[in-house]
Amino acid sequence: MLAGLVIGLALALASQARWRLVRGLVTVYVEVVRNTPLLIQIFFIYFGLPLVLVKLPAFVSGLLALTLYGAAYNCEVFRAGLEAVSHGQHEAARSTGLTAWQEARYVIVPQALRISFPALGNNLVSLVKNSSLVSVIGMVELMFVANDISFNNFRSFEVYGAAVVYYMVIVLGLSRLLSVMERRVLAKSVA
Amino acid sequence: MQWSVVPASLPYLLQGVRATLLLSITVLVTGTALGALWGMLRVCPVPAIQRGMTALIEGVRSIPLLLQMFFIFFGLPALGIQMPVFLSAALAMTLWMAANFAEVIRGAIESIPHGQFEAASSTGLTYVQAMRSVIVPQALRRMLPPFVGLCTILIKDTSLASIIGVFELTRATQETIERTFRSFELYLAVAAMYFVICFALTSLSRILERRLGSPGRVVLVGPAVME
Amino acid sequence: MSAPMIQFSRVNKWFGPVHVLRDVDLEIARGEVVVVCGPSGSGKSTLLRCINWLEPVQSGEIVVDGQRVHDARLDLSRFRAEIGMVFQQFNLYPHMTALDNITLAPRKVRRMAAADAARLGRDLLAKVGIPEKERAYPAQLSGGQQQRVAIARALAMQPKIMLFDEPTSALDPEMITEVLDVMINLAREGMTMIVVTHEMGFARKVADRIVFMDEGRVVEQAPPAEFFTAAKTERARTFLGKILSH
Repeated sequence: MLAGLVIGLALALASQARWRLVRGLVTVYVEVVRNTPLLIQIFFIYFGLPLVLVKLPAFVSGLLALTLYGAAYNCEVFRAGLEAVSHGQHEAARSTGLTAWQEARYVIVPQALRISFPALGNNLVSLVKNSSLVSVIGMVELMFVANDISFNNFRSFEVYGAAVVYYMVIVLGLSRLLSVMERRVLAKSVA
Repeated sequence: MQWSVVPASLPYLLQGVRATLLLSITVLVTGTALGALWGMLRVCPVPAIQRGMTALIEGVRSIPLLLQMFFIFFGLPALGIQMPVFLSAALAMTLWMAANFAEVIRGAIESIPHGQFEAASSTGLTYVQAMRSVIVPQALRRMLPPFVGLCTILIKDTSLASIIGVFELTRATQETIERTFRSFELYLAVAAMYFVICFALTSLSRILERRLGSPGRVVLVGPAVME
Repeated sequence: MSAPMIQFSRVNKWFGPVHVLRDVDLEIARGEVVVVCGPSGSGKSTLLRCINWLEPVQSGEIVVDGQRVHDARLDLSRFRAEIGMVFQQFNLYPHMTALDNITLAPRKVRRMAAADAARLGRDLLAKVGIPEKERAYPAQLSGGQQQRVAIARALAMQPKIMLFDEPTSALDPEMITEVLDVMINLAREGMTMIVVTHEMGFARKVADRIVFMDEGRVVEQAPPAEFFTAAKTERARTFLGKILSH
């Protein structure tokens, strides 16, 4: 869900970074987002923006923060992926007469996607873990529910213990799934 | 927008910075030490130890740091263990740092070509001798850039400690906002402060990576990882 | 000593489901120079690496100089110190000078004093023809020089047996001779050597015996003269036809 938005956004960002002086803007965006704590970003959007712009509901704020955060990291992954596609591919495509756009769409990007896949998977897993932070602004998700329950019945240890187990299951399961997908994707693309 | 509130609150915020750095350095020392131990055990050729460490490291890494902090601070008291906030945060972050640093160590050691180990063994060096003289010295250079990356993430994650009440930069900010209500300017200012510190470290990591010119695979941890 | 230096008895080895060594019986006497050749995948490198147990063996016996290598109680480090190995990829320690590469094992395993080890190292560097390179790092050496340092490193432990795993396959052609010359000298000095290689010129000069392997089996063994002119088996003749037609 969140990941989908994130990746879509990031792809566009990454592509832009290749070609124009928009590159500078993208770099600034990525560096700023990556060098400041996610928590601060969440707070800024949820508490800070209302003073100047609009007050966004908790869910939207959290979603926005995570999306922007994820996009910045995914952008880096895509950039590395694009660079990793060997230059020979570029030359081969051009020499058969493809335009820049066609070359990007059919030759470069699919390979970059396959190369980036593991790193994107990692980012997804991290995103799941980071989603716990949005509990602090009241967005309902696993962490928030755990807090809620534990404050209500003081059985903190069991509740947080259960939350720990849930997260572990989700994260490890996700990782396992990603490994399997990774292997299938790589098997097809070994050039 | 009232920007004047930023310089006015600066002294208090700087106290927060100091606290943040204190927490960071503490965790850095303990986390690195523990992580080094875990890392070496993780690559140990004894299968039982390796499996045990893998389980431990993967387990710790799969739990969000915030949850770890909550678990230690709120959950443990039910068992009779009540720790002060600073210690709870430091403990959670130490575990986190140890697990991630262990992975960095593993990545660096595994990136050394296996032939190095074979050459050492074939001249009669034991496992420990080979590790000490041949493998680890080569791995150290590869560990440095991702390690600096981890430090960056560490500093960012100290902000989480504010949620359980530890005094550091984020908490200082929140308290200032409670007094002045200028959340926009203050969060922006604090973001800038974190940015300065982290960006410096990130740049250092990049310079290191270029200087040490990794001849092997680039271990993609550090600011490339969304922790 | 009439007992063979190295003895393989009905050795079988699998890499997972792949049967890489099939019923290998082989005897190598002290001071013998044996060249092992065969098509790729024939198991020749694996055979070599079983001798110092870099590859374990699942069934059969390997006895080296009276030591049962397949015995789990064997002190591997001590055993391997008596056997020198030279690799196709050199595997020099990049963070150490040539001299340090050579003296590391004598200092750590034999507890030799640094000065003695250095003297030994310099003698060996002279022996392989590059005494002036003692302070050079591997990255500053040519392929041929690196491999010669690797040979010196293996000799530093004064081994009884020297194993060579395709020592010249990763070298540019003009550097092959310098390495082969070192190996030829070694052979003439009476070292027990087992060499996996495609360099048939070398084999013709110094080998006492050629062992031809195919698909994990020892197909034929013969002295070089006989092997090259009158190979007995069809597979050996096919192989020779392919490699000698260059």
